[in-house]
Amino acid sequence: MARFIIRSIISTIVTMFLVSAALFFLIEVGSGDITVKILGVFSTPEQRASYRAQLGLDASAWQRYVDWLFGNDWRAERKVGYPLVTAVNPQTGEADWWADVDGELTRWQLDEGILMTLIRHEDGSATSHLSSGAWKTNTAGSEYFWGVDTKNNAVMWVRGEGAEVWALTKAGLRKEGDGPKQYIPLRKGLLRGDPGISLQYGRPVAVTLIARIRNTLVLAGVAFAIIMPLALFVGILAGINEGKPLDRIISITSLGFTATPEFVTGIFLILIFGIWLKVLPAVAIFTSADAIFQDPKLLALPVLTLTAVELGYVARMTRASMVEVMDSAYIRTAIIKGMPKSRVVFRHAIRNALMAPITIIMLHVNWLIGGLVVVEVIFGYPGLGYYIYKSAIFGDFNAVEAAAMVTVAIAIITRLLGDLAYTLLNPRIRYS
Amino acid sequence: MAVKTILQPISQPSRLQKMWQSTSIIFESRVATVGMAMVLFWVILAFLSLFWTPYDPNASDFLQNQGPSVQNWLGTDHLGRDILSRLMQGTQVILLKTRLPGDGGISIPGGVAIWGVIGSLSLGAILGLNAGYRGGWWDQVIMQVLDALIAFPQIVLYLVVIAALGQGDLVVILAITITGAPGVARLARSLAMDIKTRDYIRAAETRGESVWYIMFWEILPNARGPLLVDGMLRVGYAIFAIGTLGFLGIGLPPPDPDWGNMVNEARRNIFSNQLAVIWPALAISTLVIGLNLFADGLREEMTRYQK
Repeated sequence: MARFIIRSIISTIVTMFLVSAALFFLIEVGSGDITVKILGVFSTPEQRASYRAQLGLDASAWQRYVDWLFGNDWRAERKVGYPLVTAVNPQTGEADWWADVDGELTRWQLDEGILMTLIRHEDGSATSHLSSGAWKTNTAGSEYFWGVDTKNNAVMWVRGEGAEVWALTKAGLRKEGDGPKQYIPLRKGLLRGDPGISLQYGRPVAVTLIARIRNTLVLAGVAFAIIMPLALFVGILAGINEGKPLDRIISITSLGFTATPEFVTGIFLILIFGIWLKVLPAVAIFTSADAIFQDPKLLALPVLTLTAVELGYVARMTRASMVEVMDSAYIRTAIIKGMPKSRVVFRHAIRNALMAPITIIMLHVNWLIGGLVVVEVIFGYPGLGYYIYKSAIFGDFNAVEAAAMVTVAIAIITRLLGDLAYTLLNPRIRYS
Repeated sequence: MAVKTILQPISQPSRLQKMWQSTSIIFESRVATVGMAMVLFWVILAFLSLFWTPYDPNASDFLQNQGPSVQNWLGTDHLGRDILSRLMQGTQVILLKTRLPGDGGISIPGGVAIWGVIGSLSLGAILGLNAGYRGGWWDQVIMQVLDALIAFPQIVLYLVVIAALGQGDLVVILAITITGAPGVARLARSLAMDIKTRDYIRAAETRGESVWYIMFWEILPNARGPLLVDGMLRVGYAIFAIGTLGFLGIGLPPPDPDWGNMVNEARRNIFSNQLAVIWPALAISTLVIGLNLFADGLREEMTRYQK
């Protein structure tokens, strides 16, 4: 048993690793020039090249994969020469990168060719000083300096050769002199909880993602709580009435529901409840971050759609399992020895019949995620699925990769739990 | 091959009779018959649309968002196009033709759903047979890779593949192939593991046949039943997926109408014209349900005597 658990966990880790590499390089190979999307089609090649460098896209794919997974602050630290730390910016609530110079959090700025040092105070504000003697000389004789700039990059400035860079501001692109020659956009890496900055929104992916995951968990949780008991009940009901009209009705209905795409079900529900009866909101518009808790009606149609699609599947599984158990010798024995049928069903059959569906449901979680994407898009529900969809359409690879890894992690972990539950529930199974 | 023919009994039924025998199983199950009728309805419409549709499916000839009338049996959409013509034309990309990229407008026979399933069956069979028959490291490595693929929620994989490679018939086929292959491979693997213990495989091994010969000429033909039924179900999934992608706006590209996209576009006018949403939605679900019923009935009938 212990060996099996260890093996499953190792296999899970290997799987996650493979998935992350596949995901990263698939997007890497396929995605075009993301800077066109961000800067617009009228941006010039120089502007795009400058912005690519600022995003760190001029590094090799392998380098960026490692950065994405493990972060690159340790790599930048060697260049800068000081430990790099994050401190929360009280204005935005997001983490900023600083270099820890002898206990003082420091950043640098090149202003009119003069290097300035910014020292952070406790309240988050910073004062600038002239920094002297910071330049180092390289073999070619030009003076350079590695530091942390005000945009969370580790950058290399070269004295007297301030590069012209294009900075993206709220008002558009602005040309700046005194630009760095080289950028390393600092990040902690996915494994340390920092999936990077969203290219679409310019905010850290993690901040948005957490709120989105919460919304999705509420939606999926409510749907799950409705689907499970209902589906198991309906499935068992069909299973013990195998071949009778009740079974036929339940089987055909659940097949119909499973085979109908989520968006069709969703549209029909919108038509019926949102447009014809006008009793439920047809879209989930969030007026505040906690709208689902203030107005649970928003959840009604998304949950109903998910229920309709998933209910049929679980019910069919339960039915099949129940039919198999009711066919088995020990149930026949129990019936033949004169036990009342209700007792046979409740005491003997159900416990064994539920084992298969419960594990199958665990395996089914990534189907549920697929359903979630569509349902969230139909209703405009701001959850994880909608986030993946929007980011994938934009090509926001930081966001897609992070969100997809979350879904993969959920799917793999539930599968692992399903495997474990199965071995615990069924002592006859011995894994080698 | 020669050995096999000699071993068969002399009074074997003719090819036609054999075909009838294997297809008549459909009619033994009411579920399968109903399913086949639903599928045939759409297949016939698809072939009909090759030669005739009531109007040009892409021409905005009529008033917008009209209900059904004598002129337009199913009404018109938000651009004044005839919905019936679009529905009929929409079957083609799914079932009958795949448009190749390029300006020529060349298409090859076999719809996107069909090619996607053929792709996943072939890829899945190759992987599954290798894993199941060879065992050992092959099995370990192939199953590990497939586990990684299965771990991907399908829709996320679709989104990533299409976001990465762009829209197009071939991309959708590729996406369906990748998402379908792991399931087929698992099935093929379990079948291969079962079949490889049989005597005729031992005989082939003793004859010194190559591994690939044994996998594809000895094991695969004996595993074709369950694989074909699975493939049938997968056509349903594929149409489901194509519809979903179309609905998300990343499915089959224009100019050919796409059912999912029809739902998506009509959804914006749902308050004024509900029928434009209902027709394509019904079309997708009837076709998918039909395929599901067909495959389910078939499977039930085939496994009935195997217990």
